[in-house]
Amino acid sequence: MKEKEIACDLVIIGTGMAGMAAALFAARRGLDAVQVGITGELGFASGPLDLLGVHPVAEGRMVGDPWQGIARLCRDEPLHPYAKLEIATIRRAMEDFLAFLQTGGYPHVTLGARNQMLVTAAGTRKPTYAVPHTMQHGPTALAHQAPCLLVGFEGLKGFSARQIALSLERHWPDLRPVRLPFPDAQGELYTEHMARSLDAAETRQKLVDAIRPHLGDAQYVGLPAVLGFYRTERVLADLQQGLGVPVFEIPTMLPAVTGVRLRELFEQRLPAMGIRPLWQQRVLGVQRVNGGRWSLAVGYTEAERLVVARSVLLCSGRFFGKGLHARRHAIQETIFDLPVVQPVDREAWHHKDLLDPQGHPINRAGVAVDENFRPVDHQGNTLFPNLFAAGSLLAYQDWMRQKCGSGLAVATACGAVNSCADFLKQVAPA
Amino acid sequence: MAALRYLYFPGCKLTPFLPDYDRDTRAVLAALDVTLEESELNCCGYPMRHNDFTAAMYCGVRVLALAGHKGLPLLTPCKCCYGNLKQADYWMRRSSDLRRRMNTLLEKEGLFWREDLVVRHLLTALDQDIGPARLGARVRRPLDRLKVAAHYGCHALRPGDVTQFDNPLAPTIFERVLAATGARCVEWPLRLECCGQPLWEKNDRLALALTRRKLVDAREAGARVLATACTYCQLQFDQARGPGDPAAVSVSKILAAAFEIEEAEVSGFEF
Amino acid sequence: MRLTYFAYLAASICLAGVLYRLGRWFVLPLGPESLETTPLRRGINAGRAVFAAVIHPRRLALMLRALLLEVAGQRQILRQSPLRWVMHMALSFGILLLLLVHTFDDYTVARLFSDYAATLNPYMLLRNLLGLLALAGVIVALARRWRDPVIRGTTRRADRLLLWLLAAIVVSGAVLEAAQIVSPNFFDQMVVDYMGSDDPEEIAPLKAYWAKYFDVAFTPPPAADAAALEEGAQLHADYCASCHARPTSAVMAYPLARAFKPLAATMARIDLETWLWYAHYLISCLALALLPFTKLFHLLTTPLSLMVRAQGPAAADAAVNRPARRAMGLDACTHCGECSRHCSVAPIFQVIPNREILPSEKLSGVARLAAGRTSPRTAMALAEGSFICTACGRCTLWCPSGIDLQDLWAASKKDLRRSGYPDPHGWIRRHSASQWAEILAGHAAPAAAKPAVCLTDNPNTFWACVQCSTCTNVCPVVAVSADPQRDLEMTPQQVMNLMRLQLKEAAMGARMVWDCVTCYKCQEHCPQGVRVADVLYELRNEACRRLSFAQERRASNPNRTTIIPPASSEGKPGA
Repeated sequence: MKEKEIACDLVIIGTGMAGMAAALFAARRGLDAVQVGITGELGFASGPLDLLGVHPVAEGRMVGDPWQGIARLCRDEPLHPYAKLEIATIRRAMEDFLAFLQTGGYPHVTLGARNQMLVTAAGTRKPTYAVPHTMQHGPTALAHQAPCLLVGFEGLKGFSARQIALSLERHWPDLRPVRLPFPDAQGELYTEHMARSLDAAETRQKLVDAIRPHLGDAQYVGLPAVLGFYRTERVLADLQQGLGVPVFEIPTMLPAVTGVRLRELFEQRLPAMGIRPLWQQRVLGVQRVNGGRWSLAVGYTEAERLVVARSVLLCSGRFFGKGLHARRHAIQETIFDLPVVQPVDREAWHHKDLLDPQGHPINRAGVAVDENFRPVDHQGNTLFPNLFAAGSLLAYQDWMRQKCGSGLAVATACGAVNSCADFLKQVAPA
Repeated sequence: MAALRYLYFPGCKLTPFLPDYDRDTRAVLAALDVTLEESELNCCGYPMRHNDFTAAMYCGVRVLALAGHKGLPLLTPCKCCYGNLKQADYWMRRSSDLRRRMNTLLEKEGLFWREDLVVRHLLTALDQDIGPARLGARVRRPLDRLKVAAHYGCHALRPGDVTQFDNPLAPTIFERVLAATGARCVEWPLRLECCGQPLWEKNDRLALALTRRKLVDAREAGARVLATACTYCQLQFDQARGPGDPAAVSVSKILAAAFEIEEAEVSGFEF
Repeated sequence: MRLTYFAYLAASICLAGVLYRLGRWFVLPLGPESLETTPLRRGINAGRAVFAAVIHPRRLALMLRALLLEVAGQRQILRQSPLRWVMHMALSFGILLLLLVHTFDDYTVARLFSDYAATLNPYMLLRNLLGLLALAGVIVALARRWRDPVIRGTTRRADRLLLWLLAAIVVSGAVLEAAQIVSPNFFDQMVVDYMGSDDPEEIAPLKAYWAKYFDVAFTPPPAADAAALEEGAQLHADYCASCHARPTSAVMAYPLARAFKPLAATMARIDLETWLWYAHYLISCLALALLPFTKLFHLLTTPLSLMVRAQGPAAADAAVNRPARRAMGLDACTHCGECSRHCSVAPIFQVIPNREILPSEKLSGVARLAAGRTSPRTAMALAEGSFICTACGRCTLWCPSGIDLQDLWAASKKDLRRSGYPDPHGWIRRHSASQWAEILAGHAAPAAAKPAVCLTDNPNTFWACVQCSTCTNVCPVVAVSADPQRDLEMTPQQVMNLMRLQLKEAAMGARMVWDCVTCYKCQEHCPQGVRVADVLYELRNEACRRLSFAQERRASNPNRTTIIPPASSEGKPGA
């Protein structure tokens, strides 16, 4: 029979960007960790890893050097989760994270101290810190306004090459759109299927043959983010060789292949690094038991096993991730029912203007933590010595508008794991 | 270690269509001191699931009840059988309406459903009850020249909350079992995808497209052999295999080759 | 004698019937192979095959072996159930030997033994023993059909009537013999015929002797003093002993005779023994005439079937011979029900009460289909039963008549598809999703037919769906479709959207629902935990239920407009 009760040092709740990063850091530090969560959300990662793209939000000012930006942000918003970390810690966390992606065969590229400008499917430009290697030539091409062929596909919703070129006319006049049928496909297209079919050499050749007649003077070719699933390096190399020019991806609508690539990479590697996965299961109940340990009932729809842990790291995300739940009058944290920083009543959740560039107060609601990433009550008192939180669940940030989602997830996960490791050492010095 | 005993559930298709897999499975388990009891059991209900849920469940529940009557855990080498037996168990636990209907039918035969009955697939038995260490210890001829792609098959793997087979997103059980023989498992993108069999004789064109896709993918990943652990998957790969494609070989045959079991005809493949 | 005409009539009917049934083996269209040949070719090839088997020493040996072990020894039944073997042996050998030593005694024993007389031993004893044996067989057979729940369920009136018919022959014979034993009329007749005397004085000692030792019931009973008996014994030795043994050896008839004694006067007055003679003779004639038209025909066909089977399975035979083999198989079935007892999918019959699920019943359905005697409703039921079969082959292994049932089912599935009665997947392919939405809309099955778990009626199943399209993105069927909208009509996520809107009918006939490969990826990957694959399964189930429900309604009300359009209107969506 399968073990019905599991004991461990740390339970990581959540399998989004923060949960996965936390699992990675926990594994690196040799913690005995179990990870619980439904892994759908990572599929909603669009590819680029943001550190800090916009600050101040109200002015919509784009950040050139994200590290300087973070320093300024910490001064302006001392409650922001970034402010709980040393810049050096954030830097090391990002380096570790990128190194992991590199060894996993899905390297990401940064410009070091500068954000890069990325073209989005909406035809906007967005500053970001690191991009998958499949996207790396995009920012260069944009920066040089190089002649570029932008390929869209018949039947792919939410990605119109013509629309993108039109929107970018001012910034990139030499961007030439073309709409082609995808090899062996008609009707509506889905990015994951396109990516999987490009994993096969035959489809790649057909795609090259279809694009080549339109190449003209183009020095770059841009495509939606469908260049392979597992074999991105081979897919990219084959296309570039076949077309004779650098090829790059542009992020697509969500759920995106870029997110699924990340998800599968984590799913493949983390168990081998010692993480005990209870994926596709959720925490259905928690109890504090003897010695302050957490006893978590885990299952899909009903409890299948108990996990008894010396500490818990909560990376359960916001509303879509179900870490937060908006009830009629108040926002609730769903697992521990932790105090949630939020406007006093529902009236104040949103501004009148839906598209207010400042964002809405509800966007900054969340769980407040102390300097060790332990949730605190409304008076600022630490609630439990062995409960930690990280990622978008945290209060006082608006990762969407600040464009700091990945960085926030990775950095706070790192900070929380560090604190947690210290706690575990303290309680039972090795 | 106490001798392992199971009630063997070959499923409908095994004996008439894949006598090899049946024979190799018995031989391998016998070599591992596992006793297989036998008794006439009905269809697991899997094929019926397309037509009628209740009928499919009754078939599965009746098999569970017969095994419960014998007081033995079930062992099946077919992933679809395993899947539906687990589905039956899952829904019996969750639906009181189903329990009531099923119990009324079972009572007519003096049978009843037991909640504590264990259902094993060949792989979970090999991995959890016997253990890779014991498999490794029984290997006479390590297959270290074999590059193999483990094909997971859908119905044992998913839905993970029902089947309790392995991690449904990143399973490792098949590779663990194969690694015990010394074989090298390749990483291949379509590892967890469907073999296409469920649509066979329903939409052959689509079924074959799915099968071909997997065979090509395994070939591109450098596998010479595609390992199966399911009657239906094996049948499907056999009928769709083209020149140059890796041969679909059952896990039992691979183990039998590593164990150097005489009765298992392993001469067809160069391990 | 007039009765003999009946015998000739019965024999002619029997012969004509046998020829008719044999002829059908080469005519019935069973399996796709029958389309590519003619009855003449089938006949010639069958003849050739028989000839080849007879002249080939190894194959002849195989046949003789089958004749000895399987036909005469019934090895298959012995392995399966000793009691049933005893039953079959008692019945078959009882009846066969009775035919030999009793029915056709003039041509058999009487020719072999010049002093043969039916009322002498061992013939009298043997006849009674064989009668008992056959009767025991009938009783065990009836008990078996009553005791086993599966067999009881499949037993038809014809099965029981035939057993009663055999019992009637044996019992009428025994009663007839008993009546003859006690009959004074019969005694008087015999005395006239063989002693040539009608003088009461002269006959009295013989009467006394026969009353005492042969149980003839005279009224009034003759005086039985020692002298008379001694004289009677002498007369008996002179006139009777060469033909009559004491009736005590008639182990079945004698006890009856003793029981009849008090009624003998009445019986004599109404000349009962003559009536009984008519009855026994006519029942036997009836059985003979019925032979080719009932499962009694298996007396001829099963041995043939077993000998043919010994040559190998139908699949190994030439294609042209397979239809005839299948037809012979249909005739070789004894409806013993063993196939249904061991059928892998028989438990489904407990949930879906369609008898065509059970192989022993399906066989008759296949026969009707081949003979063109099906209504749309029965064909639909046959198709449902046929496509539930998983081809596990257990029926073939258990069949004591050596019928290659697995081959028969494979062929009949093809025949059903060809004649417009495919599996539900085949049905659905005939119309587009929107056409099905119209067809199935009015046929929600009654509440009693609802499955135990019903996800599609429960809003909790879908409320969490945010239409994020993850299910569509991971779907391998969508992935290999050149044009999902054209090939599948809708994507999984669109199906889920229809569910959210409670537009079940609109999705039920969609190609996506029926081309779902059940890999459960959608369900596993759904970020909101929606049971997508289970819902697709359930939609197929519901469509199946509505299809058969619609068919039922149509059958019960022929005036209704066609609900299920006929096969000829096959059309593809968009075409």
